[in-house]
Amino acid sequence: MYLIQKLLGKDLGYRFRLLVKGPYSRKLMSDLRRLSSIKYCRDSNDPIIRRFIREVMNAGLGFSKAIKVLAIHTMLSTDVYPKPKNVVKEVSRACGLDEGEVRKLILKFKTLTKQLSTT
Amino acid sequence: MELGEGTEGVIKYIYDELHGFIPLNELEIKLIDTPTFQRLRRVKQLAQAWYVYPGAVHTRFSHSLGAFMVASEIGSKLVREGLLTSDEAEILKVSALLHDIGHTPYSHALEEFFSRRYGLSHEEIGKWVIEEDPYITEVLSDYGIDPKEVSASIQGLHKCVAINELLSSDVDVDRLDYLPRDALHTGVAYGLIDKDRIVHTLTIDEYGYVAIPTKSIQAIESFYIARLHMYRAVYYHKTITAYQILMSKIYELMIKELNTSELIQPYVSPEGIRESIRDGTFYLWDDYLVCSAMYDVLRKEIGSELLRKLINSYVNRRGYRVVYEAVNFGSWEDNGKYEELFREVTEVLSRRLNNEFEATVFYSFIPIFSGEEVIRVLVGRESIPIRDYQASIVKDLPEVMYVFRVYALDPVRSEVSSLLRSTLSIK
Repeated sequence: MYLIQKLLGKDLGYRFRLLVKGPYSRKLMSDLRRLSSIKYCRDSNDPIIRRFIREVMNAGLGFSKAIKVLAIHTMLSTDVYPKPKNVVKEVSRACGLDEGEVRKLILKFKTLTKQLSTT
Repeated sequence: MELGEGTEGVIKYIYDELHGFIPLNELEIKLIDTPTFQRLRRVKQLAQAWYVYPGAVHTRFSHSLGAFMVASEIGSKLVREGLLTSDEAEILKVSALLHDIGHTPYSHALEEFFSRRYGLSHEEIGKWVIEEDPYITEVLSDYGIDPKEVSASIQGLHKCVAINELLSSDVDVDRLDYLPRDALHTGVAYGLIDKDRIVHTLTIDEYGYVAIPTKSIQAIESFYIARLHMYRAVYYHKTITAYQILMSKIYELMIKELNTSELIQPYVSPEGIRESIRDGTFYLWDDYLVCSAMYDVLRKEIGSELLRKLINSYVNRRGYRVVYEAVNFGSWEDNGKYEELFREVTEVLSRRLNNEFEATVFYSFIPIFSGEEVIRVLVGRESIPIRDYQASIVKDLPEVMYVFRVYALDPVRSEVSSLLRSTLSIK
C-alpha cells in the first residue's frame, strides 16, 4: 500500500512510519484486519498496479521479500529524515539480503517506476 | 551554535506531581518559554473528563514535560549502554517535549472534527508548528537542532528506528506518562503502572527492536491491563465521550454559521491554522478562546437557536445521555456486526428525528495491540513480540475493545429508546 501511494502519487489516507521491518501504518493494519484489502490490491483493475505486482512477482525473490526491499528503500530514500548515508546497506541489513541483490532489484524497479509514473 | 552546546548542564528544575523534579537545560528552558509551548498550559489533557472526575484538570503542558522526563531517563540509559548516541538521545528528548505541540484545544473533541472533515490530525499540525512556527524554529536553530529532524521523529520517520518506536508504539514515552498521570488526576487506581521498572530495564535488541527482559514481564502485563482499565473508566467513559461529541458538533456548527465563525477565526480550516502558525499567532488557539467564543454566543445571543441550545447543554452539563450501550472485548471478527449496527441505527435516526444534533451514534474499535508496534521480550540475544511469549498473560488478552453507544438529548431520549426497541429489537 505504501508503494502504491508512492507509485500512483495518490494519498489513500495512510500515514506510514519507519519501524524495524519497514514502512508501517497503524490505520492500514486496522483496515486490513477489518477488510480484505490485500485481496483488493491483487484483484485491482488498475493497469499500473497490475503491472507493478506482476513485475514484483517475477523479481525472483518472492513477492513479500521483493515488496519489503522496495518499500524500505523507497521510504529511506524519500520520507525518512535525516537520510541514511548508505541506503542500500540499510535495506540489505533490514531484509537479510546481499547488497548486490538489493542493488539489482532497485535498479530494475527504478526504470519501471519511472515508466509507470509517466503513464 | 553546535548541537551539544547549551544542551548539557541542568540550569533549572520544574517540580512535577508525578515525576518529582524534572531537570532542564538551556535549550529545553528556551523551548518551554516560547508562547507556543506555554499555550499547552491552556489546553487540558483530558478536556471533558472533569465532567466526571473533577480533579482531571491537568494540562498538555505537564504531560509534555512528563513525556520529556521519561524520554530523558530512557535516553540516558541507552546512551550509557552504547545503544543510542548522545545526539540521538537529544533528538528523542526534544521530540518528546514537543510531541503534543500541535494539539487542538479540547484535545480529542476538536481533533475528531478536523480529522473527519479534513483528514487533519494533531501530528500534522505539530509538524507545521515545529517546522514553521517562528518561536519554535528560532530556538531549535539557535541550538543547532534541525526542526525537520524533530518533526520526522514525531511522525515516525527518523532514520533511527528506535527513536520512532520510543516515541510511538504500544509502550512508548507518551503512554508511560499519560497513563499514570491520568490515573493520578482522575483517581482511577487501575491506571497505575510500574513505570520505573519499564524505563530502567528497556533496551534495544540487535535488530533495532525496543524490548524488555523477561524479568520485567509483570510490569508490562500490568501496563497493558492498566490501559484496558483506563480505556473503559476514562478515555471511553460514556459521559466523557458524550461531551466530546457535543463539543465537536458545537465547533462544527460555529464554523458553519457566519456570525459565530468570526469568533474562532482563523482556526476553522487547515489553511487558517497553518497561516496562524506561520504568523506566530497559533498560541492564541486554546481552550479559553473556544470557551469564550461559546460564552459570547450565549451572552450576545448570536448564532442559531440550535447552537445556543447545544452550548447551553454543554456548559450546564445537560448534554447527551446514553440510550443504549454495548462495550465489549473481542477479536477482529466481531467488527462486522458493530459496523452493521452502526449503519442501521444511523439510518433509522436520520429518518425519524428532526435534526442530526438531537441524537447521535458513536462507534469505535480500539486495538489493544498495534501489530508491529507491540513491545518485544528478550529471549537470548533476539526478541519476540510479547503476544508470542508463552509465559505471559498478555497472549490471552483480547485483541480489540468495541464501544457502541446511542446518545440523545433529554427531550428526545424516550423517543429514541422506543425507536431502538421497536425497529432494531434492541432491548
